[in-house]
Amino acid sequence: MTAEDTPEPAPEQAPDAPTTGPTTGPTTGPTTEPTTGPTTGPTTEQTTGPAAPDPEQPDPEQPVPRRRFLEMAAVCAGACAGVGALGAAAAAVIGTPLRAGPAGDLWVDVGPLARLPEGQPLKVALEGERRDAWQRLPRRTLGNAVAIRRGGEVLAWSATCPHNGCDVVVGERDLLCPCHVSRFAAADGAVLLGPSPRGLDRLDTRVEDGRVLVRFQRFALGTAERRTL
Amino acid sequence: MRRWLAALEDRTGAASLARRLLARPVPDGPRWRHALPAALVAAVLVQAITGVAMTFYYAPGATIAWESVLHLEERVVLGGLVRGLHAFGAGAVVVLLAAHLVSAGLSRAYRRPREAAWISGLLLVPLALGFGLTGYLLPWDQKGYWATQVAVGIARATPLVGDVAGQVMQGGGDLGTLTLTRFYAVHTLVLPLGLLVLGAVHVALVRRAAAARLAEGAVAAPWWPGQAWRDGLVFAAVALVVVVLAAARGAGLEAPADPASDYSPRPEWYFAPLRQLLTVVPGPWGSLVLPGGVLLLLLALPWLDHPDRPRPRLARAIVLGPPLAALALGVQAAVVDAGDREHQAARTRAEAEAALARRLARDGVPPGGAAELLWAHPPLRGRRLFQTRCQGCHPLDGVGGEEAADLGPFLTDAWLEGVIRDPRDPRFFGRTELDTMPALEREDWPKLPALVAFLRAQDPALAPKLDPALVAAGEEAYFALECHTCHAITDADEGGALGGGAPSLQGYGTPEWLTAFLRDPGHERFYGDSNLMPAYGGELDDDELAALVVFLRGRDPARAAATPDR
Repeated sequence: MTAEDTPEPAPEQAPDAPTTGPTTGPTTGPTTEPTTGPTTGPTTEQTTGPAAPDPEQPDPEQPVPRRRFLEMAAVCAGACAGVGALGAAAAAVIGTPLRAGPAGDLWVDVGPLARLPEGQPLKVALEGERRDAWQRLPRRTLGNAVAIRRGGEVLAWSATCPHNGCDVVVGERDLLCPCHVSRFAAADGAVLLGPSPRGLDRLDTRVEDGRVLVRFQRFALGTAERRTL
Repeated sequence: MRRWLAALEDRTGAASLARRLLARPVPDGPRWRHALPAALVAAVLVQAITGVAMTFYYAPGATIAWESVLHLEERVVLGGLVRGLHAFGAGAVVVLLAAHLVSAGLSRAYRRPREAAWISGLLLVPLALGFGLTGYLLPWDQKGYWATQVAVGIARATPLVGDVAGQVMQGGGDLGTLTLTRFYAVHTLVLPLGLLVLGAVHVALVRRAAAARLAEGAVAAPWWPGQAWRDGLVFAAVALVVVVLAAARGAGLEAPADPASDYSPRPEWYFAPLRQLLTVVPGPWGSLVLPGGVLLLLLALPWLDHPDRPRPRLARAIVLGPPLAALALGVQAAVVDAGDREHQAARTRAEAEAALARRLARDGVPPGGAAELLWAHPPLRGRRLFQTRCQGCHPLDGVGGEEAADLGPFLTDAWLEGVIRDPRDPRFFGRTELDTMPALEREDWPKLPALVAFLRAQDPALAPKLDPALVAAGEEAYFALECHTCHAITDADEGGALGGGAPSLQGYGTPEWLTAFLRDPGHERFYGDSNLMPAYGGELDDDELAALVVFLRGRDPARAAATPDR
């Protein structure tokens, strides 16, 4: 069956023919010469150009026969294209959620003005509908704010520490981030101490019909300049 | 370049390894059938890649699995294609595995020294079916849920170990989140590890046997290029079919699993023969003994057709019998299903429900999952309420109690015409004690379309689509026939229970009219003292009444279309 002694035809002409070369044993050759270049005739492939179909052995003067080189180049190019396409597809699939920004930016009612103590910072929860992937979660805590009433007005800061995003704690004298001990002034949110690159982020507020509304927003972390997300 | 390659070779041996692999001797030389295992490996690789990609989005759990799969399908770039490739790729793996098995069997690849390679290959078949069985449940949609319910039931029917096996599969007494988490673990960790080990053992044994045969002087040819391009071509052909199917049809996602539904389940197509076998040979004989016996026969093949005592005919029967039987059973299953009206109707219902679920879930899903959206969806909720509160007296298209009017085609043209023409017909009030309304004289029958149009015009949602001339003619007929003396239609009429003892038809069929009627049909606006129907004002809350009204109005397609269901 495979022992036919016909020389190998060019594959593009008669691909069905067995490819055994008559002269080379299948297991000999490739492993015995580790110093030769990787593309030199490891198999029975010949340098059969249309004009010179005859030679049985690779020409020692021409270490990489042209046809063999083209063949390997085509295989490598195909493999690269395949891997590239796979990589691009994988990046598209895995990277889909990156296009969606973080949720945020809505006005939240935090209760009656009268309930906020005058001049005393107080942490208030900002509640609203949260979106998480396919889920719609009604009435979740979106984040916390630190609010201070000054007469008929309310000042509010995001309770998220601009350093790494921990929630600051309202202390006796100032506001303290428990993660890396940044301290912020209760009066204006400025950094007093610690690694935070900027003061607490101000949130817009307004008072309507005696109720306090705070605009929930999120800010980029770790930067000296303030940037909303 | 050359130097760089030489250095790489020196440090890693990569080049010589590549050359060794390319020159790998293939016993018997290049053959098309030798391409089957290569294509099989490639197809498994596709399953691995698409499977890993899906784990980036999939979430096991009864309230999140279906939702995460929908998210993958509708929100993730190429998500639907990846899922389709995985689903149809599974079929390709099964087909290639079966083809490889048959081709190996026919070329007697089970004979010495290849017995161990044959057996290790056979054990891959239950492994592949295990992948299919566990993967089918993961989307937690109706078809996966019910197919698994049936599979667990079959496992349960196994003597002795059945109950334990069912419990282990389900992770308890019921199908639920714990079933999903363990099917997920088995599908993504246990079975892949098993495949890796068993596959490696199989390849090693095949290689070992090949080396032995080569040592005995068997003819061979290097893998590259003769076998290489055959491998590539066979895989490309399979991949083409899979890609086209995945792109054109997708994996499909039915409505979320509903443990209380009249779903008509079918397993994935490659399980269809096993299912059909169960209808021919019921019980453990069909589920366990016959398939197990076939596997045992195949495992015993090296000894049944031993070189010392060759039995070529028996061997061929054992190799070709099961796939031919599976093919016949599969065709039979398809033919039976195609002719099964009930099943086809259930399919249509399932498709409509799937489309509804996907539509409702598109705007985000509550914490309870999409099943919560479907549960609260007014037409469906209304139907459930009707079944428990109304159908005991009011039949629906002939099904149900027989004490009151059939509300199947309620408020449709035909229903309204019928009730005016002959209220004493058993479909309407014939079975009740209400008998004061006379049938319409035959000579007045031509007025029916106009009367119906006039009644429909009581519902403002329908008014724009009605012919004003016809409505006007109906109004004239309504008063000419003195309907208004019993059934008030304007504020001036003395109808209603106050006047004539019959319900006022002012605003008939509107949500307001129906809600008020359901709350208290004995109100003087409606039947008054002649009322026979219970009041539901105390029993049902506003949401439930609204759902029931949506369901009742939904009997008439025109009204269902005129009012959005949300």
